[in-house]
Amino acid sequence: MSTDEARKSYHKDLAEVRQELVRIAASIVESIPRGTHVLIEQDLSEAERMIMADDDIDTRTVDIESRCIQILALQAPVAGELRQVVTALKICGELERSADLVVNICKAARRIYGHEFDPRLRGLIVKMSDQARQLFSEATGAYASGDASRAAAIDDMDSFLDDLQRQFIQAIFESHSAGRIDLQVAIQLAVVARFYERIGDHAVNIGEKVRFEVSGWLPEHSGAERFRSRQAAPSDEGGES
Amino acid sequence: MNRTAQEKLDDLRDETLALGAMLVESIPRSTKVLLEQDMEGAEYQILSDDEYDARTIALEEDSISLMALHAPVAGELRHAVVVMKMSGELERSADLVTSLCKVARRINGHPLDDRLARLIGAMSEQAHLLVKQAMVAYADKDLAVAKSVRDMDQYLDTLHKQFIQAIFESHTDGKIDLAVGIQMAKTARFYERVGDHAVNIARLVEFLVTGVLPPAGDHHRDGRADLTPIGIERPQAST
Repeated sequence: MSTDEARKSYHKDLAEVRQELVRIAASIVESIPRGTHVLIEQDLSEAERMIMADDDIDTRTVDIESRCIQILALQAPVAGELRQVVTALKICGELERSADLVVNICKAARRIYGHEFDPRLRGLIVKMSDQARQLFSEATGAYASGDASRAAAIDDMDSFLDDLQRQFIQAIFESHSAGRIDLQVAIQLAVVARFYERIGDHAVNIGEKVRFEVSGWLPEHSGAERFRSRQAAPSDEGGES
Repeated sequence: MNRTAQEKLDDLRDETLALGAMLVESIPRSTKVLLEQDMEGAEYQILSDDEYDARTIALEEDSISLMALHAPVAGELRHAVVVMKMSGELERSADLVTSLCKVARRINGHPLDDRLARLIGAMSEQAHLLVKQAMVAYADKDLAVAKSVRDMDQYLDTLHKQFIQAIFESHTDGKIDLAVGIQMAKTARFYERVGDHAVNIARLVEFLVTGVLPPAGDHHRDGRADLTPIGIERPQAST
């Protein structure tokens, strides 16, 4: 194989890794409303199907991870191409965990099977689901097109999901004290709210990785930033959160 | 890879081990904060997590620059990749441990009954053991220890289920209200997820030693037969 051909197949490899990750991400985007449907309609056979289907995502992400490591070993990429491989490696983990969270929603559906919950709670679940889906879809789009500004916008969108989650927790308390749901359902639903929230967090992480891939920008995690600013000004020891 | 690169990789390994040791040590400490509602200890852990974040990000950056500058191959490449991935596992685990201290703040003034406290202690001990074993596996490149972490994680999942049941019972007995109940359910998941990260670290060690990546998904372990709702009595099919 000539050097030219080797480079060509290497670029083809990089492109295929991206395509496969985008396909996996797109299937997660599509699974979010399905998981929500399972929860709200208490569709246990669909829950079972979705839980089984997750094995496929696990296998595919491991394949991509192995392929990325192979590219690193055989091509020793540098600069932008190294960032592409590193980004793909990191996105694998985010996708795998996000898919697990959708599965967790389906498992929660099994746990609350047969327990009714009121329309307000259902409405908020659908809103959280829509928002999580949209965040994940944006992250997928940003990665597919290598769009750093689209990736940067995801963080702002995520705060809306956090607000919804807080409203939902409030609504759980109200439903519980009005005697409409019992504690067990209340707790399961509170846990479900966190699943959506964490899907949103993974979308934000993917956005950060896209920004790194495009520009070499590394997320200045807020904590790391606070630490540095405290180092710079040791008198400011307030601390939040 | 030349000597400088080897030295850099050794530095990365040392830093990974140091961060791992800090994490291991923070688990029982944060559990104590939670059980004793030690607000000062909570503040300390929450502040030190910022430094931890900074160090894990630096570790990640360093592992990427090592790959960029020295193009390691074979075992050394695997090691650089493992450090890069482990930095994220460590950071997230530390966030979860810190979340325990945030729970301590939220439930401040609501004492936990003995049964809940005992189960929290047991979950903490198991999570602590898992992370410790995963780090030992990394330090010694010990495949057998790495593989044992996955089995040990099942016990943590069992404890998690017992704990959820205990929350329901404590509530029924009027010992805790819904707000504390939700915080407790979150707490159980924090420990469980620390255990999952330990399993991920062990998986990376397996890859480091064998060159083969074992599959990641591990939540099916107990999931497939899990048609019985946990801790919930199924109502008669009236709906």
